[in-house]
Amino acid sequence: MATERKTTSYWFLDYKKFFGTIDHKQIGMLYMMFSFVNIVFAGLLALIMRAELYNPGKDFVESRDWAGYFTVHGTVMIFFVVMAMGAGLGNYLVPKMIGARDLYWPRWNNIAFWMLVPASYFVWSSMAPIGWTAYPPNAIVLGGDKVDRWLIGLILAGTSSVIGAINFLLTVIYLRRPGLTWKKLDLFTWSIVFMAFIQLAATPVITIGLVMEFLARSLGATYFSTNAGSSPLFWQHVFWSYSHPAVYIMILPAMGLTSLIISRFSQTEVFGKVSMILSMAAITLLGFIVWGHHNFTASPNSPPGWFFTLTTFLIAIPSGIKTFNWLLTMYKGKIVVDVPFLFAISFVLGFVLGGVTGVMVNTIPLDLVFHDTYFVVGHFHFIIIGGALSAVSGAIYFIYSDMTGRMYNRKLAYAHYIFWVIGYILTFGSMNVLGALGMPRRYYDYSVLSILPNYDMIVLFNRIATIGAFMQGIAFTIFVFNFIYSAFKGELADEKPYNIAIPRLWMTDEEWEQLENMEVMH
Amino acid sequence: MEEEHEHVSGMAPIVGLSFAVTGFGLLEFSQGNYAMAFLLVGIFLAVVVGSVVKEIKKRSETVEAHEDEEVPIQFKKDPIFGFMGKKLWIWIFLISEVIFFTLIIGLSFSLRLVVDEGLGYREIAKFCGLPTDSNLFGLYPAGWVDQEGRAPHEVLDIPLTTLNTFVLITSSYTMVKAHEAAEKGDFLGKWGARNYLLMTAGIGATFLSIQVFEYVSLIINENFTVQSGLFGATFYLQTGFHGMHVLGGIIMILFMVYKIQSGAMKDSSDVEITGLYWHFIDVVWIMLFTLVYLV
Repeated sequence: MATERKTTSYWFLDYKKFFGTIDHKQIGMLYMMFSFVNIVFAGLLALIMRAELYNPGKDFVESRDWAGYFTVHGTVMIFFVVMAMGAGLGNYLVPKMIGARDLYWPRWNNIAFWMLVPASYFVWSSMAPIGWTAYPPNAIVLGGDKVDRWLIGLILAGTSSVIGAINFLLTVIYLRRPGLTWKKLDLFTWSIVFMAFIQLAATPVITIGLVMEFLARSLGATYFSTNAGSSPLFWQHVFWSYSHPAVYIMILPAMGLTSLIISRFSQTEVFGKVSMILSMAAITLLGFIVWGHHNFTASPNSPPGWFFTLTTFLIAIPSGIKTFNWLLTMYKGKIVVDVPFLFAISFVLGFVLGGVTGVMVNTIPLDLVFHDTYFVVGHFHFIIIGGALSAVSGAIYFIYSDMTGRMYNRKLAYAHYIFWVIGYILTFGSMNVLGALGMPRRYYDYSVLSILPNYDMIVLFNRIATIGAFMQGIAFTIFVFNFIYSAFKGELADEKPYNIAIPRLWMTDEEWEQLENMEVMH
Repeated sequence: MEEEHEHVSGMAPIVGLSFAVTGFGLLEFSQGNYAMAFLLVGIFLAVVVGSVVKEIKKRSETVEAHEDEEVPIQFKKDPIFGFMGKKLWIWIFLISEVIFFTLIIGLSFSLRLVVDEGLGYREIAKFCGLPTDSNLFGLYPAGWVDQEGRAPHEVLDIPLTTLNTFVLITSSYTMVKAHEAAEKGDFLGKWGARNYLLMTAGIGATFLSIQVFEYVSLIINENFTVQSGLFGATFYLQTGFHGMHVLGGIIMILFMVYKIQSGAMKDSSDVEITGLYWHFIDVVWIMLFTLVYLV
């Protein structure tokens, strides 16, 4: 085995394999490639928006396009970048971690992936000016087919994620290698189990909501109409009771990856494993009963207000437990500093910054001030970009040599890391400051804010945010270049033991056969 | 070469990408081109049916060769879920479906509770001292009524739907008999699983036909449409989604019949899975009948 050099397989150049592959590793890579393509274009939208905001006045974006840009940026980043990355890494890693040959339903796995492609087409072609939250009455009274395309795209994406969720659950339940009990299951696989559970339980909610908006638009049904006795607020409850759990769909796999990377690179077990699993379970369950904190300004003084504040504060406890467990794992271990480990640190940093600002916006008196300002934008970007995407980038470096048989360029990876961390702290930190200064979100021309006393500060921090965004753009360009270039020209991975993860991650075919023989003998 | 082809499926990406056709069908629907919409959704269904039939055919030809591959290594070893065997997936899927229908019914019913306390145009006109048939703001009447102020029992044809409910419950009985026959290994006999499944599908189709007749008569005779206030909107949402699930169940039953016919059916678990789904649809209907028609 050691004598055999692992060589790169360019399987995706064969169109039959590219479309028809039912191998979990290859489908995982397809998910990652899909996610990369989407992040490049959705990231360009973000850069266009930040460039427009560099100066206060109107520069080059038309006002009617602006809302379409931030809608598609948000929707694509959530459904086709972060969630697709979670599904892709789950596909790639879960069978290896539990010692299975493939997922339980390999062909459904392929179907679920290829369903996402039309879904992303519909969302990209919509450019609907509704925001990713699609609040009525705006989303219902707008003419044309833009909003319909957006709704159809999300219905397809939801269906795909339910198929994927059932597949993951069946795989973990039925295909674990002999002797791998639920207690011994690693934290990443646990995080995928919880993610799949949320997808299974929450996706029906958004499907109903989207169908209701679709029928309201196309047939004139009055689900959200005040005239009929309902209310547009009704949609907010339907939408957020999916979309808050959806946040945990995005963050749970990232937490699992962080646990995996930190324990491997600290060369020790994760501190307090049982508490980690219970924390994830608590986050999963509490995630379903916190959605009302998105509607504080709609009904701040009613009893549900304090209920949702309370449940949301409770979520900070398991999150804190996880953070301290990661720190203690590092404290107890013998750390090997390498690229994936640095990205795991970046996850913890982004998660803590986003978490602390999250607790702030959850406090009703503060939320009444911060609602719909850039403070909220900064908060969730810290969680998703600084948190989830950092962990995902680290994980891609972590399994890179396993995927391609080659090694990425380390210097470029460190450059990526430095630009990335400084970039996101500048951008989203400035956004938090901007929100506190009173800048509302979704403005494309903020020269109207010149009546505010701190107007020059607002301009300054907008400029810093734009500079940070372009640093992130540079970081991501380096990442993509490194990813593609090294897949063809990088050093072969087996020449040096670059990646301490591989020997323990990798379930070779021989090992598999041994286990299978064991099973036969039983 | 042969080994490589094992990890490639020709049909799967076609099925996945054909969801684009459904998407375009829905898009045409939203623009009011209903004929085109039904054509596109029909093409999608044809692709799905074709690929499933092809798959069943393949399995019937290689039934021995694949037998040991079909049973994964840990199949019955999981201490918690192992006893469910092949049925586990349908239970997981049903979790999702239960949440789906609970929400549809729950949302509709909570809207009803809200609307029952609200004000309609008649009350507002009275308050303002206007004639009570004036409707300046396009408001709907108060209470759980349609645009003309009719309550559910005044609009809906309850005797017909009661009959329809009995029809659907009967189909549950034939489904149980089909499973019983399949457990005994009697698939193709006169009172075997195939014939009972066909009976179930037939009764399900009868139910759907009566429902379509009900819809048409409601729309044409009673002028009761999706736009008839929240009552109309939620009525069509709930019964429409249920009808689509019945249609899905019928298609699933017909697949099972084809599977028996082509000899790909090895044990009773597939009939049982279909049965679980079918009984679930029945239970949902009983709840809907109570909450939409009777209350």
